[in-house]
Amino acid sequence: MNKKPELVAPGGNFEKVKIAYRYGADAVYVGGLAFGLRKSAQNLSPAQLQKAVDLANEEGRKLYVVLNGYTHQDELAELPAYLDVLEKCQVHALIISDLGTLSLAQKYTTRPLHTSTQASVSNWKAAEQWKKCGAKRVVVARECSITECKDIQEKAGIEVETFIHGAMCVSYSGKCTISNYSSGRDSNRGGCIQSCRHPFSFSENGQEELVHLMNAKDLMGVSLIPEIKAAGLHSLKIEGRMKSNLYLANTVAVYRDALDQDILQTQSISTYEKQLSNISNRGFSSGSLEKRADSKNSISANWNGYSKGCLFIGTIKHQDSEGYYYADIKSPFNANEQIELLHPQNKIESLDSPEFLSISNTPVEKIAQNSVIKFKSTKVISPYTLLQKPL
Amino acid sequence: MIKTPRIAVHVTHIDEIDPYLNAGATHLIIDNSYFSNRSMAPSHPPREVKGLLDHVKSIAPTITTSVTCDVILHHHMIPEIIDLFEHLKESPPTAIRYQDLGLLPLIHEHLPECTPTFISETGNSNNESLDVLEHLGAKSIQLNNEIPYSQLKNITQNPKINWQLQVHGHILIQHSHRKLLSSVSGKKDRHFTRSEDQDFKGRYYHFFESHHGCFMFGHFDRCLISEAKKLRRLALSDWIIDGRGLGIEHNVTVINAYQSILGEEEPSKEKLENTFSILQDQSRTPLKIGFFNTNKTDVDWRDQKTTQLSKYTIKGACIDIQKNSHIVVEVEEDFDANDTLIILTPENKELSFHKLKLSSLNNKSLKTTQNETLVKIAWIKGVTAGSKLVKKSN
Repeated sequence: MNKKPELVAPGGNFEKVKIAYRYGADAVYVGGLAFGLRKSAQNLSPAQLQKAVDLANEEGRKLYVVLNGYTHQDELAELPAYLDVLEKCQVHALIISDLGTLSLAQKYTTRPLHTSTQASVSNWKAAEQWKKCGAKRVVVARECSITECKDIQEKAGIEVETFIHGAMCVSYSGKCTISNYSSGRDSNRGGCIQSCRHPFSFSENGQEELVHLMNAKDLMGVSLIPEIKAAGLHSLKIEGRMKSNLYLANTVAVYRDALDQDILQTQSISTYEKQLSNISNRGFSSGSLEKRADSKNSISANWNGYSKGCLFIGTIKHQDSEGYYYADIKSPFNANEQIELLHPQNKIESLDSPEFLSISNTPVEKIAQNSVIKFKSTKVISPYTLLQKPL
Repeated sequence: MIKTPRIAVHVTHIDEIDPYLNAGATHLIIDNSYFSNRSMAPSHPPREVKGLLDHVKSIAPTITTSVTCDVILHHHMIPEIIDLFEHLKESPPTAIRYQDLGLLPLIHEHLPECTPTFISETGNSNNESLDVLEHLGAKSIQLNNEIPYSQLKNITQNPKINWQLQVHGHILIQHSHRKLLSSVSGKKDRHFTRSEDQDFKGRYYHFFESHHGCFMFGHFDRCLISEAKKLRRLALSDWIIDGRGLGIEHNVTVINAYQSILGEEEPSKEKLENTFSILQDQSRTPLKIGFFNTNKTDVDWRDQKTTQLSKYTIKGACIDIQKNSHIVVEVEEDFDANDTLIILTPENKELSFHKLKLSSLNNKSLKTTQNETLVKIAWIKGVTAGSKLVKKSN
């Protein structure tokens, strides 16, 4: 029987960590206060890291911390103290892209070390070198096919993790400094402004052509799960620490469901793909998982905006003793609009037109962004169920 | 005493050898698209790489030679690379230049007498990572273009490594494995083209594509002539001139320029300005020093919000603000109505207060809270959605 890969999900903040576990992630990767690549995410404080580790342990899951920004000379002195915090929290692994950071992590912690995709490991000989330096796992370059991933895992004798879903760098990760030169922000230290997605003009035979030359489509690999399971890859990673609760819940739920199927039917794949396509995206491709990605299959060159089939409305937080559900609303909607529930078991159902009340018990017709509303429902709704509006 | 650095330049054809040597190049880097990541030369098989290397050696037997093999390695390339190394075995170059760590064991195994030279282009360098590279076997390292002078000075004090630095030429700012230019009509492999970023008007970038993928270069080229005095104070073994694809005449002018400042202890300001003008006149792009003097991208490194948060214990998040009425707080960690708490707004304002008017959502007065519940506090001016309720850490 094929081994089921570990499903690794993004945890942009503590709430998202809880959502990821609730919807089926085996492990969550988060950023701490420094040395990560998502400066604008609501990264976790040491106390939150400890709580997230405790939660993971209670539920038999894992919590990984990214230290995948490029550590410059000036920051090296601060790294041991931070590594000490991570050691005390007993996080389950550190994800690292810089050889120097890896070396210090080996010196100051006992935590397992994963090589980040930022290191662009694309072959088993490089994986062996990272293993020699102390890495237990390598998150391979997104330019690797499933076959290459399998070879790396088998020949280097190292756990291989590959991305399965989410936004893609057009470049080999870590081989890009566009933001550094175009805006003075460091691509590899959490400051990427994604200027690769800008339109560029090319003149050809006197004619000017505008092309989003490097606007990579998002990765979607759900249809390749049978091949991935057959290849025995250790872990699959979902990108998106900055994305919404709905993106996270929906993506984790779909991949959890798909990974748990013994046999993935064509019909199911099509349903999964449709559900994944409902969330804001740049168009999808399978990246390089099947064959080398190129401009035809993996670039949204004629970009005219994100595609989506539904909108993230809010998150159920709580049910009180009177049976009212409380929801934290992130997008405005009208009370008469059709709203759906995405449950942690990957079940989507319509909400039965309830009366929405403010917490002062006033009926609300136009529900505002950043408000808390309450309602009763005949449905059984658990905390962290997501509200979405079909478009 | 700092040794005089070699002037290194890429060579792709027999016709380039004499002009470059005559201009003052002292290190020739054999470059071939087959094995060199962003070579603009034709793709020749191993025997032709060997042929070019042998030719260089026959003309200048004592000159430093190296062969670029800086591809990002995919498994299918390994047999071709071993074949190249086997061809070079009989009369090897001084060094093999690589960037993929996977190539290092192949260099050690097949060309043990060659100096492995690590190219950290677009990568990262700190003393720890450089130590690891040295430990793994790198004897020579080309430092990346984003390191400022103060750090270069510190790094190059380690005498065990030969330090190289690109002093002139295109700055690689992105390498994609995808061949992207084919989405632009009529573009084919090996095409070199210029394009304007429509969101940063006036900035023209050069793109080059080969079977290794698509490469993007900065909107200016690197030129360190004006910084010659500082450059000379760095203990560098090689000044790299990256003039690939720019032609013999261009490269001869650049080699001459750098060789002339190497020959003078204290080149005058006027000479440096004149030399810069000559180089700028023949360049298709503006010439700048880039990050050589300072790299301010470091200023943006720390996340101010989360750094500020580290001084506190997060008690909750303000998720609904009703002006003049109340704030709904999602409790993350228990707190008491009597606690002295602070609200940190998304705009980094700190609002301090104590003795909260705390109640449940159905208006029952509370003295304390429970994790993962929603509670109300009285409205406070200046608090916006997303603000955090925090307590000073002990």
